[in-house]
Amino acid sequence: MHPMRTSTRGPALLRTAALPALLALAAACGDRRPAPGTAARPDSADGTPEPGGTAVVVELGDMEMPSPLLAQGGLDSDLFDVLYMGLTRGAWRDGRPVYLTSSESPMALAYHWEYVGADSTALRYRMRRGVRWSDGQPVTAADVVFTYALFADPRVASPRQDDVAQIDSVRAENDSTVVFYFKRRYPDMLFASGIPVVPRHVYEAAGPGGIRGHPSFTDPVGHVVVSGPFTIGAWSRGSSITLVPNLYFSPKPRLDRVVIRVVPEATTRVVEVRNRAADFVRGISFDQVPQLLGPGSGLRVEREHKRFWEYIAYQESAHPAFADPQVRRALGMAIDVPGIIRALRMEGFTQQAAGPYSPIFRDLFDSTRMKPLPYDTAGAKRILEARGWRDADGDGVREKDGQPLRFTLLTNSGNARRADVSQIVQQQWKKVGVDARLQQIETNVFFGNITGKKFEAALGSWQVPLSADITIMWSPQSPFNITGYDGQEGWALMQQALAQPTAAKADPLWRAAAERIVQDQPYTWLYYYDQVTVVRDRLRGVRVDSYGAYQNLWEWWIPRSLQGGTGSAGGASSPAPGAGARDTSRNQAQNQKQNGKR
Amino acid sequence: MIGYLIRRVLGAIPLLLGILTIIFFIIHIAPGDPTARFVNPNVSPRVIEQMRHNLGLDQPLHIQYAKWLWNFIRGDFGYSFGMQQPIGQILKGWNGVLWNTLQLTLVALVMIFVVGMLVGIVQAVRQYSVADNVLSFVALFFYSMPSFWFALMLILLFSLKANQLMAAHPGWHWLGWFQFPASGMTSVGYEYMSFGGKVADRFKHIFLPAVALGIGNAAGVARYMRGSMLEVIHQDFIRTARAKGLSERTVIFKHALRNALIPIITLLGLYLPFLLSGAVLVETIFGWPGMGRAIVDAILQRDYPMVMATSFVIAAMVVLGNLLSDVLYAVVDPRIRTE
Repeated sequence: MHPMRTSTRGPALLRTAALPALLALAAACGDRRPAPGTAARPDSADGTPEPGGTAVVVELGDMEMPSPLLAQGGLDSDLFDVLYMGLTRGAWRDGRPVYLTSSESPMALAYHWEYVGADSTALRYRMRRGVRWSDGQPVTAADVVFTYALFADPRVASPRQDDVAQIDSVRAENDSTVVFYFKRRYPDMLFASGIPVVPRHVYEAAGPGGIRGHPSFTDPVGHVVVSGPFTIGAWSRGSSITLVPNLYFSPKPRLDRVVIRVVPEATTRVVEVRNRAADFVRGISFDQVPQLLGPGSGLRVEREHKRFWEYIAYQESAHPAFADPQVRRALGMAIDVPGIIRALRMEGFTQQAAGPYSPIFRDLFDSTRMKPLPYDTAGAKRILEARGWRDADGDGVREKDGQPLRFTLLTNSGNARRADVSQIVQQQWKKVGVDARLQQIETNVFFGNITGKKFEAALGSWQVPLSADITIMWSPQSPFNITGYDGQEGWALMQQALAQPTAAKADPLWRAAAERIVQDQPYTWLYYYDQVTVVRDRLRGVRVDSYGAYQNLWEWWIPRSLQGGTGSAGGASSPAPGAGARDTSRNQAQNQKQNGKR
Repeated sequence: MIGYLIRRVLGAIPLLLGILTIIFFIIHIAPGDPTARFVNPNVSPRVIEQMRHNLGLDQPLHIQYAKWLWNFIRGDFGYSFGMQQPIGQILKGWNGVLWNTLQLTLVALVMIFVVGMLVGIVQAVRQYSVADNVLSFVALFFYSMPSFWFALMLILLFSLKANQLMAAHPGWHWLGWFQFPASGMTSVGYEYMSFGGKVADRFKHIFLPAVALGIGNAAGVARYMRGSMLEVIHQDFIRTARAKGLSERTVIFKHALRNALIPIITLLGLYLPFLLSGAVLVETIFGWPGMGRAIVDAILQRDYPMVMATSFVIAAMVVLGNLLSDVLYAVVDPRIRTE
């Protein structure tokens, strides 16, 4: 399993997987905070859900290819989880990923699963009958087999190809029973087999090589065939996407439609939410929260908790100092992380970080054994002196063997928070005799530089994966082992963890591996931080957590008395009750026709 | 004239090819890679290599250039790496980014010349008056205003503050005339509006971006217009017109304006490229789905085919704008020869 496996872990998970997008998202979180947004939460006293209304969502970017096969992060990953059902439905419960069957989630195709085979290396799913695609065709085991064949086909070049790497074969025993044969027993078998399913009868003719040019991607309105609660009713490229209910999905979504508007500029997004022109606004930076919340604002904040950690990475071969774990520890001790959080007003949205596992993991985050480094400049100086880094010439910069403790701290441009953090860190390091030069480069180039190990020290962030497996971050051969860390002991523990059949047996080994890595401090872990979404109080039934923001879209609702729209000319207005039947979208018309037939 | 036009258009072809060739090699040589957006710990290097192969990025640069050139000559712009769509589909049509940008720039262009010329005429006719001084100050203010800052101020005043005032004073219906949406091309629910409602909705959405895009250039046109008018109204034929007893309105608008327009009208073609470059910021701030945003996204994502296609469109517009200027100049002033 991969550390950033989040992409496959569900909707918003995949979104976060694309790192450039991730960095851009992270960049969007400027982060100066006030109080954590905890206005009154109407969800707790929703009342009885009422049908109808239009919810307006504001996103940073447009969709590109919202298919589980080809999605590459961003909005696509959120959308495909709304559009397509999987055998099971992933969710985050009590600090653990869980995989729900149809008795627990209408988004699951299977009502039962079981391990089979002598060594439990196979999973048999029994699918409920009566589930139909939005064109009326039944969803069958053949669709599942077809989907996994496409994922594994190199001609498709699916970004999620590795997620199915441990699957040996997938076979349909009959129309509603499918068996996954794995190469070995491992904890994430349910995850690997729970990927959303695509319709065979739609894509079979295109073949693996031609699937990217299929009309359902180039012109999805009227061509895309889905199984989830909503389908794409209209798309104005770069401007808006209208989701309309898939009338074959049960239960019927409560909203008449969801309009996703694309607003790239952060200030404009804030104006839209203050104008009551949007119900659900993503990409809000911490510093924008205080101006939005307050008595009578009619807004609340929802968060995807602690899905990122910000770091300073030290490339071990780039400077002699970085090859010494004690020096890296001293550099970390010289940074006042709580002070940075306070100075940039990020309290409430961040937590000082101690290692690769975020506090959202009940079984992997161990605050008793992995503690953040103390801010201790005297201690940092002592360590540096002891390791031979002394300021012999009195110029304020320590040297050893004629080499000054001077390096470049690289970060990506366009992220105000990182620009601030890098300057604060520069000043704090200066106090212990470390001279860091700051450099900002474009995100695309930054990412190429860090994965190509073309940097000395780098300030960036990683997404917290919703999987225990962090091997790809620390494997000596992996481009994501950006620091060049080669901890044999930790690596051996990871290998042992990988060989375990269950999470219960693997988790202690993962914890031990993380602890061993943290001892060596290849990174200075700065803080874990949230992703913030501002929601209007009229929008009810919304559930946002570490798993994602759109995970229960079909349950969103707006009280009938508040469905009338907004106070802005540019805002949301709903068609009159029943006007959904007049929707101009081809899909809607098609659905209605099919509904009539039923 | 026809021969002149054909010669100019033919002469532009090597120019465009040269521009595009330079852009092709610069964008390919620049650091960064289109597959960088896929690179994350979920995706193994093997899959990335497969993607590079599928996109043709593993071929030598001269082969990539030859392939691009051959497709380009046949009118095939290729497939956007970023938007995952055929580029022709992204650019063309009533929902295409090109038409979206053209709508914005054309409205801005009309505003630039209408406002700029009116202000310039008033200033020239009332030279050294209080009105002339005030308008000069205002024109210089807008001329020196960065467009992104001005755009944000427009949103703040005419969207946010106007909306807040309307909420605080429900009886002030007239405020609705000064309240505009902050982003987008149409409102949610546009498809349910009457024809008149749709027209009004479109106008409301395009107004602020067009003002943000055009106001600085309008101020520039006003300065040109003032100078040009002043030059004309002091000439003998204007004195003669007044001596004939013609009304001041006829003198100014019939005799003076026609002649003063000659240098102004040539600006029409020259402003087109300026507007396109200005649209990059304005489209981002107002969430306008136009070519400016598409170009920026394409460059940031190293979406080479999209960069090439949009560069071609802009380069072609610059060439056409210049041609338009020359032609208009010849049309309005018979003394100019095209031979």
